[in-house]
Amino acid sequence: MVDSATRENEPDRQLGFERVQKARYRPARLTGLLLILQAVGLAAFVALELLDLSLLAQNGKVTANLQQTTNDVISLFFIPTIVLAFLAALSLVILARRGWLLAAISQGLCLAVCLWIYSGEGTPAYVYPVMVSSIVMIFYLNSRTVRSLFHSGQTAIGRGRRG
Amino acid sequence: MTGEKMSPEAAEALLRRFEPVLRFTRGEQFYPLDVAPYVRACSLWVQRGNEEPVCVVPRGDLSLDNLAQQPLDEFGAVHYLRFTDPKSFREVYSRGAREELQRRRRLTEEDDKTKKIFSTGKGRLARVGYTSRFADALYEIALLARGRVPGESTAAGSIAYGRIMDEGEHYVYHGRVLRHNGWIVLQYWLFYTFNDWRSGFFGANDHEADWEKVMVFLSEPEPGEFIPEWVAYASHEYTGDNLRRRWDDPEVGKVGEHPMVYVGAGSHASFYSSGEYLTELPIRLPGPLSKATRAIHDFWRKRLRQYSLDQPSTGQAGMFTIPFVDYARGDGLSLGPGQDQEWDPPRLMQEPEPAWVREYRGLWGLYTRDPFEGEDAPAGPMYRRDKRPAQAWHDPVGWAGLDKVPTRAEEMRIVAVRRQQVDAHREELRREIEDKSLRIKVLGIEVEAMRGRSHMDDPYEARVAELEQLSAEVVGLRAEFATNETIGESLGDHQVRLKAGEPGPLRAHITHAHQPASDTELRTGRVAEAWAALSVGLVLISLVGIVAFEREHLTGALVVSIALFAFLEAGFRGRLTNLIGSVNVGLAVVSALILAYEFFWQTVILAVLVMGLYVLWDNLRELRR
Repeated sequence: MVDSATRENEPDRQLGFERVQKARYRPARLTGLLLILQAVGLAAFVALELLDLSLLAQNGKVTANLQQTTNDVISLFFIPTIVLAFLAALSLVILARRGWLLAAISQGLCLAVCLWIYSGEGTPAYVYPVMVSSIVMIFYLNSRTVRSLFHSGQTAIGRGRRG
Repeated sequence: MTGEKMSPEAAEALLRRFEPVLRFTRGEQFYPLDVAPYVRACSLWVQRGNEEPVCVVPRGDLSLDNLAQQPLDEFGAVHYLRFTDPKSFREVYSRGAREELQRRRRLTEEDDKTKKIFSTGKGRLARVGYTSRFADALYEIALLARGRVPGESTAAGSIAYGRIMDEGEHYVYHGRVLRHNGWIVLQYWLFYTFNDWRSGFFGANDHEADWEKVMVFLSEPEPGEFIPEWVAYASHEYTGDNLRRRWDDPEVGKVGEHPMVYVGAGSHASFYSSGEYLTELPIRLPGPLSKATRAIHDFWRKRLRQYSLDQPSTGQAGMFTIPFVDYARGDGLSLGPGQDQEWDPPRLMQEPEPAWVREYRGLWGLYTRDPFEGEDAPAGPMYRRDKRPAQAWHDPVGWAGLDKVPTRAEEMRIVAVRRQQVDAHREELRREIEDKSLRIKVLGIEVEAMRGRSHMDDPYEARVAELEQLSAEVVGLRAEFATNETIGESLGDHQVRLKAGEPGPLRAHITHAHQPASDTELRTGRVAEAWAALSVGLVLISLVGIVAFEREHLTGALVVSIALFAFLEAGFRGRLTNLIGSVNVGLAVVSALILAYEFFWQTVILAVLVMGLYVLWDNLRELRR
């Protein structure tokens, strides 16, 4: 009797365990999703900025020199950030431990670039929303819920779900 | 507090039964000895204010008897012994002295099984961060200005100590047995002629003379039956719960009934396990700064729920620490029953205390006038350097944090008595609650009866006020009753555990155990060690270089160089994750301030809007239910 009851309850237990695991990894997946959204948004901003500059250049309103400088800044610093954010998001979706580090580096880099642009003359408007999203992401990544998932003594997440 | 006295024979027997086994580190030069030959080899001096020190009793004329007969002196005068003589420092460099030191070293090496001498292992600086390394550099520089033991003292001390030992002296401790607060306390006072922690083992200080102690706490359930329950080993200036271990704690190694003590090389601090201990000398920040640091730390952890490496229990927020390593490897001479060397019979310090213990309040070695006192010799067992009574002598039970712990024999009785008291108090509370509840009912009826009668407004008001007061009192009494009931139940459970012979958790009293470095911590590459040794100097030199040659790009160059050093450091110490976390938080805070500055009113409006929307959503959700 006991054995058959245990066997009957086994699928329920399995289901419960899976639910708990899912809930446990939710912050990691949420971080991944937010990173993808941020990277897409950032890519859109960069694309718009480049488009805007090329239109202005076609109309002869911006000197070729200034356009080149702005393009360099954007391509040199924001593009690696976007790539890093995508990589971090992918790592987090497959629950790899290095995802947190990649995400943190991408956010730090992003904010550093924003601050650098801000310290120059004529801050573009898109810098501020990027700053806001990075601040939110940094505090979320540094929250105990997320950090303990990746960096507690016995990490919940290892080299991947299989590891 | 002190009960009946114990005869010297009985005291000696007890001391010998539980006398400790001391395990030293290879390279140690000084071992415990009798104070009498040491005092005979010393001169006595007095320092009055800023005057030149005056020799009171010259070397050769001093003994334990006349040491105790020194007249009282003016306020601020410090009496002290001098073991090493500055005139003899030239002798240290003489051929004879060098040969003598080599002979002593050879003797020590021949005693050793593997003929190896002391090596430092992983450097102390590689174990801690930049802040501590900067503080350490300042500490080292401050030594040049502070009073300190002269460099030749260790060698001179070693030669002088060798002469004493060659005259037939042996390994001795000074023992004392006393009854204190229900405990029988065995005190093993260990006197060393010199502490060469700084010059010999890269530690914090050197000083002439060193008093250390080990204590064993016994209970006596039946007359003549002694049960060891606790031990406490002195370690630097620490006191309280963290010092002591229960006798059955596996950390307390034993040879038969003799507790094993691992002695720090040079410092002679005592440890329970062999290994290398990181001892951090705390330097408190000024009060307001310390408070502000703590407040920010608490806000960060508790309010923002952010991750932090510092644990609040360590209390390290709001202070600098300077790192030093205590090498307590236990691979050198072993001293005690059945070991390389045996103890001589102890020198007893039973009541009435020997005059040299009670009357001599001065220092037992050179007074360097070091404001931090680290280089000054210690006072005797009974006093502190400032001549006030020493807790370890007058209140050994409090010193080990045992004043709240009864002996096992007492414990059952105390629990039973306390349970009776709690039960009796609960009965009193029950009666009081009943009486007051009845009174409340009576008042309630009276208030009901008087309501709406205009000619009775005064007595009505008085009763309403009394009713409110009594109701509040009864609420408090009921809460106390419930708490009392829980305490009674806990005491009952505890009594059951005690009757079953369960002594309770072993280490619940320890909040911060001093642990030796793990094998992983000790495994560091040579590059990391070299980096640890060079980094602080390089940081300072590069800062000067930037200020001198890169003024045009000062901010950028400073940021880049600091970032570079920080990343290298974090990489070597395996803390890249923490560094990135901290840098990110710093950037986020700066960015948030910029946003608040640029969009202050927009932020306020947005915040109010968000709040309004949240309230709407919450209320609508409630309506839908």
